[in-house]
Order: sequence, then C-alpha cells, then structure tokens
Amino acid sequence: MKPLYQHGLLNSFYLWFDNYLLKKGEAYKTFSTDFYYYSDERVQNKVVFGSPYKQWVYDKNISGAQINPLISGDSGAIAEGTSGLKFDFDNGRILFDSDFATGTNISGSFTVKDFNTYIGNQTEETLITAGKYKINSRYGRTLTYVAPYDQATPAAFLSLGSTTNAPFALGGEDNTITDITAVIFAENLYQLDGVLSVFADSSKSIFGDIPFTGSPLDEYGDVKSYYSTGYDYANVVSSTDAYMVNDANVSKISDSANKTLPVDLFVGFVDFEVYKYRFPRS
Amino acid sequence: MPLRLSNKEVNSITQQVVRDRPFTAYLKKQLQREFEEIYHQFLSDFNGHTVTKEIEGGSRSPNISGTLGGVGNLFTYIGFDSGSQPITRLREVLETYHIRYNIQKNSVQIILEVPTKEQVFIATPMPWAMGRSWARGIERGISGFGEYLVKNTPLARSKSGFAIQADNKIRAGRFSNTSYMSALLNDYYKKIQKLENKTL
Repeated sequence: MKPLYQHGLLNSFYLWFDNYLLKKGEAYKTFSTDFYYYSDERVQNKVVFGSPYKQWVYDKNISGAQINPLISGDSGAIAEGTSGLKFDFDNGRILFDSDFATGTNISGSFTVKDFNTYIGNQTEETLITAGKYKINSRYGRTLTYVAPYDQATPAAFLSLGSTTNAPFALGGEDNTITDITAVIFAENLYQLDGVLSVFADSSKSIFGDIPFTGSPLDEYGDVKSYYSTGYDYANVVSSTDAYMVNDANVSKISDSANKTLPVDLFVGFVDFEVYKYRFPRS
Repeated sequence: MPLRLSNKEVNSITQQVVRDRPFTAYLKKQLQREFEEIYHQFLSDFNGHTVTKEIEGGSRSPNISGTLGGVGNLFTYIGFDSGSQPITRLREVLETYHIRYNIQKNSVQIILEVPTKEQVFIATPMPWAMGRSWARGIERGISGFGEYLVKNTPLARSKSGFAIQADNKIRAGRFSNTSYMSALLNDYYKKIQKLENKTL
C-alpha cells in the first residue's frame, strides 16, 4: 500500500510534537558518559556500544543541543565515519565496523530528550496498566547501557483516534478532523505539568507536512544520508502544505487513580484536534 | 385610500409599541411558549438517549447504547464510583437557560442563553482524569482505563498480580464511539436560531 493521508499526518505530527517540546520546553539535557559494549544480534557486522540514555537529539533546529555526539576512544576523539562509526540516535548508542576492538574504552557527550516520543500501537489502558518500561538512567542508578528497542520513560506515546471529513467548501474541499492523543509518562509532577503546559499552549498552532519518506532516521537510527548537512526540522517541513492544531486539551490522572496504578509514574493526556483542508475524493 | 406613513411616523409608533406593557407581556409569553417547546424536546431527546439511560441505570445497566458490543456497560467502563450520579450533574447544566429582554429604541432585543458545548464538557469530568470529559469521550472514543480502576477495588487489590487480571478483563469490551451531546446540542442550537430569526 502506498503512503496515504493518515501516514503522512502521523509522521508530520510526530516530528512536530518532538520539535515543539524540545524547542518550547527546552526539554533536553546534555550528558557526558561512558559507553558500554554489548552484543546485539539484530545488528549484523557491527560492534555496539550503548550509552545509559536513549533517544538523543538529532534536530539541528534545537539550538543548544549537541547534535553531533562527541565520541572518544583510547586514543582520542573518533570522528563519525572513522572505523565505520555511526550514531543510533533512537537507541542511544554507537555502532562500529565489526573489526573494532570491543575492549576499547569509549566515552562521549550527547544531548538526550527529557521525553522520548513514540508512536503507540497499544490502547491507552494497555499503555498505562500493563506497560513495562525501561527508565532512562538517572542519578542513583548504576550507569550501564540502556537496553535497545524497548520503550523508555519519561515518554510520550502518540496515537491517532477518530477521523471525520466535514464539508468545507464548494468543489469538494473538506476539513479532515483527526483526533490525536498523547499519553504522557513523567517521573515527577514538575515534569508532567511542564509538558502539559507546553501543549496546552499549542492550540491554533500550524505545522507543516513532512511526507512519509521524509522520516529523518535510517535503519541504523542514524540521520539519513539524504540530509547531507544534517536534519533541521525548520528546513524540512513544508511551508505551504499545513495542518492546524485546532484544539489541545490537557488533563492528568487524578491522585486517587494514580495510587491504583501499577506504574510508578505520573500520567497525563493531551487530546489534540487536528484540522486539514483537503480534497479527499480527488 | 391606503394610509401613508412617513418613516418618522413609523419609528414613533414602533417606539411606543415596544414600550407598551401588553405588547411586551404578549411577546414574553409567546417567546417563552415557543422556547419551552424546543427546550422540552431537547431534554426529552437527552433523557431518551440510550447513553443517558445506560449511565443513569448505574453499574448493573445493560449496554443498550451498543458502544461496548453488549459487554458490560458504560457506567463501569468509564469508571464512575458506585452510587455516583453523573447524569444528574449533566442534567442540571442542560436545564439551565436565561432569557433576557433589552428594550431598545424601536426594537426588543432578546438574548437566549443556553449551555455551550464547553460548559457541558466541563460539567462531565472523567472520574479518573481531571480535565477530560466523558461526554466528549462518548463521541471521540474512550479508553477502558476507568473499568480497570473500578475493578481494582481494595478487596481485589489484596490479591497479587492485579494488573494482569485487569488487563484480561479490559479486553472483553472495545468501545465504539457514538454521537451524543454535540449532536443533541447542535440540534438545540439550530432550533433556537430558527426561533431567533422568526418574526413574532
């Protein structure tokens, strides 16, 4: 199946959400840590070193973030491409060619999102009640690599809800109204209130389209070579093909309900109503 | 021969008429009667709606709205506390209206105030989430998280592994959204608009 409207919307919304939170909320932090070797059978012919944090920032539009992680080995700085060095921004790790010594002491600095962003494929209640999440390493824990692929909190899970086409103009133009929900998992109330505050103010915001093919990361989690000078949200997003956040309603789970949850996290919701004027039948 | 009146004369008569007590009394009575017809029809539609009936039926009500495919009911699915009366609070809001008459120079301005959708959604908070409306959720989709909370009573919680048990139960019913307050209110507003445009 070819990429259709909802695919494009979800991709565009995901990238907007990520950029908006990082930019408006300055929801990121730069760390300098050691990296830890581990094997990953999913990555063939690569040597993997993981950091204690996943979902690094790769968007050049976030000024102040360490977009190009600085990596050092036993004999000094290692530039991207040396010994096949690639960054896996999603899983918070680096990959080398298979002949790289696994005993090398690797360290580096990079910027981590305060909130990881995921496109959820689980229902809200499953996310909240049955989800088992890794927690991005923080103070007080033994630093080691964070396991790849699993979802780590603090995080926001995005999911598309209902979509309706309401007649808008003569000639077949409709207003396609889509409900998108973000379930927010925060470590503390300050964090949760911060995210809810950022997105409560997003009502009537406009965000541009980024086609499904414009997704920034490749199969290794590195920025696609297509973005030769790096990925910059402001340069990639369409300035003419736009969506509008008509309404953003924020809420959080009540204290009494929170006590019943099996997860030691603070949970909130952002219910977005997104408008797009289009010709669905053409 | 037809009587010819100048604009000035017509204005003068109109100005006297709108200040005439029998006229304003008739106007108010007529408007009240016509509005109440719309109002009672609206409340009757609300009371007769399957979602209203099902929630009002409490925790033992069958799923007459069909939103859960016949499994369970909305009262427990949304997660209302046993004995709570969410429809009563909503009905109180819907029953409010104000009619104000402003007698102006040569006309009577009638302002009909009825609850807005936003007021309705504020009056229908999800029992477990501050700021989320169950009435809106009926239309847009609603998660089964409320049901999870209701089933996790202190008694059930004393058993270990409650989260896994609840997860299985939740999956028994999937929610299908249906039109509810927005549709009822849109119809109400449309009829009021018609009344506003009417010449009495």
